[in-house]
Amino acid sequence: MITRSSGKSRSDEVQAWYEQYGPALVAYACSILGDRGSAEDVLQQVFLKLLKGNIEVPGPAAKTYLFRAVRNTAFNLGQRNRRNVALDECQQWFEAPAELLHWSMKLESAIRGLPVEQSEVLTMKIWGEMTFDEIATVLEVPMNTVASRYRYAIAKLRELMQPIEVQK
Amino acid sequence: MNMKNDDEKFESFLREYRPRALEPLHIEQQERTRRRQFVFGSLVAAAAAALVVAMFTISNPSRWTHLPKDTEAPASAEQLINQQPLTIGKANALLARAPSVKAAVDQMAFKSQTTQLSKGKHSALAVLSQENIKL
Repeated sequence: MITRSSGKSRSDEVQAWYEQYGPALVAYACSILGDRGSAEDVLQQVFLKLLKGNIEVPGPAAKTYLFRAVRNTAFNLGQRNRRNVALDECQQWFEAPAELLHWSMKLESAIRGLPVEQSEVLTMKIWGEMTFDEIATVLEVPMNTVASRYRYAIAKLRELMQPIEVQK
Repeated sequence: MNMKNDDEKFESFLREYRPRALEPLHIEQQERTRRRQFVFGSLVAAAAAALVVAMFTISNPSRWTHLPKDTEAPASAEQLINQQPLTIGKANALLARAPSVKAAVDQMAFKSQTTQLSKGKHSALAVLSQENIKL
């Protein structure tokens, strides 16, 4: 049983987590499920459970707890066919400066092209701004495994995004 | 070393893409929905309880009148008051028929003695009232 120590009201605390980690969590769920609609559903489920349930989360470990909860919920929902998801502009995962916006769909497509084990590590590291240690806690794997998955992910993504990187 | 720099540059490039913002979490709406569900549940429970009580009352009417077996035959309030002696059973029956408890008690408390004495017998109270007692 995890315990909560802050004096904030429950809904304020959950609201603060949603605002702080929500975008990164939904990107993470996208990396598992392949589409933003399902990813947002997962996030709703997790946060509603936090609001309704008697689950208590410690402030410092909230981030890893939330990523783990999103991961479990996403895997329970079942991975969809990530590579064949229709690319809809309304369902884009990322925002970017105007000059890069054109390439965001390419980036999403490239992330979908990675194995889930690599894409989830990449998402947690880059957009979740997590350390290898934190990622290892979420995934319950050794830190070296996380580091090597990340290196493979970066190498493959660079390969897939090479033309964009050259232009930049 | 060069490879590491390239990776760092690529990571910086990736970080220029930010995950899209989310719609606000509708906590209030959720709470309102929960409150509405609670009120609806309470109403359903109250209706079910009322239905059960009504069905029970209809199927067992004698349990709710508190009439003892000897007074189950139809009898008016007047008849019950005139019957002597006034037993607990009769008092119960009177209470069950009276419009209010106060009315029933008033009827019992202030009802004059209506028992007729047989010929040749006198009420002790009447005899005593006729005697001249010198103190």
